[in-house]
Amino acid sequence: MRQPKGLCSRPGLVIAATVCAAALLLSLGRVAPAATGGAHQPTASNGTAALRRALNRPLLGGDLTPVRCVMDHYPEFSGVAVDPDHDVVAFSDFNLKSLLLYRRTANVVEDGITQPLTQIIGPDTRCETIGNVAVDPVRREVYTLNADTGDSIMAFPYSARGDASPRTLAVPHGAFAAAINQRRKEIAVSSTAVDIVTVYRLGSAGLTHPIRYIRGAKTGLAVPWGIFWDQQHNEIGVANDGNWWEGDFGKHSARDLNLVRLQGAQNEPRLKAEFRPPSIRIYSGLAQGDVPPLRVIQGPKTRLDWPRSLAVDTAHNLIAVANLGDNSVLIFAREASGDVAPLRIIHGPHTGIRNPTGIAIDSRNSEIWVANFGHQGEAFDLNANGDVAPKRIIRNAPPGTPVVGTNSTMALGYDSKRNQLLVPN
Amino acid sequence: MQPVRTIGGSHTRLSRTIHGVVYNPARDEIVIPSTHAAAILTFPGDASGNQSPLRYIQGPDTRLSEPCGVALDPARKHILVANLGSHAVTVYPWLGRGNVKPVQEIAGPKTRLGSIMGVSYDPEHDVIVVSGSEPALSRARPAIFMFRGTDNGDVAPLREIVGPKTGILGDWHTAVYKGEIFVSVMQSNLIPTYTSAGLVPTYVKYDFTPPIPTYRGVTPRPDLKAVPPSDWVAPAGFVGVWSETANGDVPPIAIIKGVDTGLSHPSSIALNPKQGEIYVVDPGRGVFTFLAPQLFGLGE
Repeated sequence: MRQPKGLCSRPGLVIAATVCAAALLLSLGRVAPAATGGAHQPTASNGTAALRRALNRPLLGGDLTPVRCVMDHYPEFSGVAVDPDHDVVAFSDFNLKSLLLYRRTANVVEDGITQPLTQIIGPDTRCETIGNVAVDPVRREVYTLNADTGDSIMAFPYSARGDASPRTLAVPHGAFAAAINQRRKEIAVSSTAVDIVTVYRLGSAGLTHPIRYIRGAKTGLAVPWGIFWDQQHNEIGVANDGNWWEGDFGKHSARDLNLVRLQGAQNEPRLKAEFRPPSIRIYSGLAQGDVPPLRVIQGPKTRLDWPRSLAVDTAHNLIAVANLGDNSVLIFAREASGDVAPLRIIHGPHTGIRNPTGIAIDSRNSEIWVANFGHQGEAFDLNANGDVAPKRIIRNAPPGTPVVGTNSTMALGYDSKRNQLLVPN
Repeated sequence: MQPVRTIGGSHTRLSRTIHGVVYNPARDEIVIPSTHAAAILTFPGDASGNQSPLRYIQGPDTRLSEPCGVALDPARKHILVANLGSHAVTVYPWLGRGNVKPVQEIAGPKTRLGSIMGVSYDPEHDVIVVSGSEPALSRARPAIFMFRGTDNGDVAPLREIVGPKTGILGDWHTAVYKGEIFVSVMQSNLIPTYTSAGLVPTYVKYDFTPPIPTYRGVTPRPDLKAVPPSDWVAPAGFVGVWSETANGDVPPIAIIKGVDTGLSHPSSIALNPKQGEIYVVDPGRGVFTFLAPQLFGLGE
């Protein structure tokens, strides 16, 4: 969304319909005559009659009212983080570019919408194409990241409301998720666009160079999305899609070059690229530069399919993965390595899991939180397995509200055979 | 409304960043770049779910580098690709697969291509239209470039639309119909600036209003000069239409812009000439359909 110097996240495609923004979906919507809703209450367009009416008025140029528009008036959840110390669960909202904080024990009410404790929203928040969310229970702060435009991570106090100003830290392009290590007072950030994990001192602001970074061919990072920091074992885990390229930090990433002081940047094309299987990669929390991971979970037995977010539970020695590609949550042993099957899978129609993009573990209350890209977040028992219903549901829209998901869309095509729009997210 | 179908999952080989898509009616196929894997994927037209592409182009011989916009040349049966990373347009056979060399590559200093994002093709006039910017060390000049369909190597563009009168601060994609170029002028929500010390994330607000064109005797609303309120910091974007014969610093001949349009920063555009419809996507808002039959010569 910024100028052609950068790349944007979340591919997708819509046809007068929508798509799922955070997860690179291609959705196809039918170009139906019926209006689909929108802020401008578009006038009905119905084939020949509408065309005839349009021809009878001079409408070339200017402030035209669209005859149809496809948009979502409600938040669309992207990430989730939980703070049992303060009884708070936080969701990032990719659609309205906001953060919503709820009481941890909240559940849907009769009208189907859960009332948040607060919503942080507005131009002063600097929230743009926001990705995941993290919480700092010590400072009582909630973080979110500009995953495309903005190239920043924003911190707000739990008490923030409305159009609040954040503490902002510049980070490499495509920052999607953050993980906090309270023991080291550090925060790690995964950046999908440039295959890097950068580490900063907690509380850093403005233009601050990272104190460490993980990046390079040996790391195997390939579109790194979710991230966790296991404080007890000082390990950083990263979820990877697998689309790999030989990044050079030249050209469009001059800013990133400056931030991490990489050497040898050139303006040569990125010519080396390949498709690799999705993976979970575990690094030392002190890793610096082009270092291999300590362990890798990868292969057909893992069932990893667009792993978007992940969380660790050292109390129960578990890693939980929001597996966007097949609408599931995968549970692995914390020390799992190689082509291993998950210990458990939460999946099926009763779970309500649909396009999961965020995940968090509340060890104290033995719960797994899932943010489904769209209108529903869910809390499951930590031992949930199979097609089980969630313990609680948090909704941001009335039941049955369709998830449009046309945000961060940077391309559009028209299928003339099917009269459909192709909308990449 | 929900999408009719969704293509997504690891088998699709899609991932972060899809900056282009085009439908091939002759083969009933969808062509999509995978920017982060430097690949061009081709799916069946009715693809759905976690489906593998029919074929893909990828490898060092392809010269693909951050491929973004894609277009089709139906006569030569070619796929045209705008490469953001190499500042080049590369061309491949429709049925190319694997590590295939491009049949054409428009690149080099004479082309003046910089950070390019979009590409479209006018089969009637055999013209390739490229959107993006000229190369620059600091701030690149946004431009629309036109090349002959047969151009190859380091060649100067046929024509170039560039300059302050165009109203373009940042253009992403184009669509072409009968000698007219429809441009999604996104402008920008964030203009990063740089110093030798590193990133300065300064929000730049332009005090700039594009000229208001008169098109075919129709003058837009006079209050169009006012930049509509925006939740972004840059001026609002618009859809502009230029003649393919335009060259230099010329304003658009038609424009869709203003509060009622619902557009903030339109990123991409597609056309349905038979229905007189223009489809525009705004990444912060949604997908909009405008009915403008006059722009397609309907009713004349």
